[in-house]
Amino acid sequence: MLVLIAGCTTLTPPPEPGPQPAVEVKQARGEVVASNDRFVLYAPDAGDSFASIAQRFLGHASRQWEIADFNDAARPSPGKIVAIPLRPTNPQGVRAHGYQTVPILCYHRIGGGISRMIVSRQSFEAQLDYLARNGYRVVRLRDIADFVSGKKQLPKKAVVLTFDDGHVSAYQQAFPLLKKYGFPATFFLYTDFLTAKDALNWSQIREMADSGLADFQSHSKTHANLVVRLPDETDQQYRRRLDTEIRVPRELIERNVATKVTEYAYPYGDANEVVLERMTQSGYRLGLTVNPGGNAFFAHPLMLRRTMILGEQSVETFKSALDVFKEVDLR
Amino acid sequence: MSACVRQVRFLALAALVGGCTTLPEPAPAPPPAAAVPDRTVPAAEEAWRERAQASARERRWADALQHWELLALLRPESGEYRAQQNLMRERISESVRKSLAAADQARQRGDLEAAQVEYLRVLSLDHANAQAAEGLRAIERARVQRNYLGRKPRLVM
Repeated sequence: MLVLIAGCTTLTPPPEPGPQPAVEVKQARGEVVASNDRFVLYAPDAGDSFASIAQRFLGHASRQWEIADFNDAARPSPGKIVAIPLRPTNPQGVRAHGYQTVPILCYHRIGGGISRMIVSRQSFEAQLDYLARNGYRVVRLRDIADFVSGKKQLPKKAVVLTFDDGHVSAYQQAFPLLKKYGFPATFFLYTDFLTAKDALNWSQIREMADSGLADFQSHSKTHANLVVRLPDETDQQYRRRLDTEIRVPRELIERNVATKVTEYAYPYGDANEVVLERMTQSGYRLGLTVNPGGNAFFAHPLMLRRTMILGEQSVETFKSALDVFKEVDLR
Repeated sequence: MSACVRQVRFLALAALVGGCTTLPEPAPAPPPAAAVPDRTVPAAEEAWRERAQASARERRWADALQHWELLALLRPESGEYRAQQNLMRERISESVRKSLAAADQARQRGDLEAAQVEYLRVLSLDHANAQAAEGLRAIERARVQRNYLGRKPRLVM
């Protein structure tokens, strides 16, 4: 009973399912050595973790990465003072030896079948496991909006997971594994597909959204390539068609899921100036291509890079997609 | 143990455990901690001092400044740490001024790669420099325009 009561006071608050699964966090018991409005210098106790220190000083255990990154350590060492930054110290992630980039990975289907667009469940799980075991932190796509506007610092090894189209394997194969690892992901729906028999249905979509791990955003209405004009299509007709491709999926998703649709994955990853203009007018914050590579803080928010993860790729190819830092000697 | 007693105990336990999940976020006052061991502060001072000096030698001025700042917080009475902070700030200020000028010149002659490196250099020294951040965004917009917006569509993935 005493153990349970003691544990009581240290449970991680659950409302925001974060990149890591909620776990019990013991109360930090070390001593503050000095502090000002920028830093707390803290001598940890033997039982302290960065999670417990973050909970005590930053208000939430999920902010442990801020302390880990700043001190360049995976865990506190007793007898070694920890510097706790109270404000973002480097929101752009530019350092003397280069700058941070955030890879956004793009999946389509998970499970069985022969297609380069299908990643087997075993490969997908191995990839998530690799991320978890190697210090990568899966962040939400919406965090990128704040990163590219310079408002938010992200973990040094931040990664975003996305899935295109709305295939039912997202629910049957990917979702259980995302829950297992506590990783959030964004699912881009092209809404005409949702009537197909191998597509997600709204019940599945709502269940995933309610978990707090899955976010649903636009991938057009019909999956037409937005930069391709129809034969004899006038400028006005083209703009009207684009508006439909941009507006309809948002309306449908927002009508069925308690979410705000502000992100758009272009079908085939293609956009042009007219598309960007319509996206801006429609209030979308982020647009995603399939131009590979990581995204620096100065990335164009409506032309974010995204790296496709394909079925036949090796583990080494997957690792090379995790482009979290661009080396440049800036001294 | 009677079923009734077991039930009362279970309910009491459930109430306690149930209460756990609704605890408000602000952390309660920490329990009294043991005194900081004698060697802890001197060890941190030594490590941060070495890091600050090494960073300065390697011209990593921002990293050096940050460590002198931590040292000044640890030892507010130290004149040396304050002086080192001031020295690093002067070096950063001078380098930022030179790099911003170089970036502007590079953009004027159309050398976006060189301008980008200069703006990045500024931000590696002064993380809050809005002029450099906006310069980098402008370069990226131009790059996107040139490399992606005008090209032929990918019809099939």
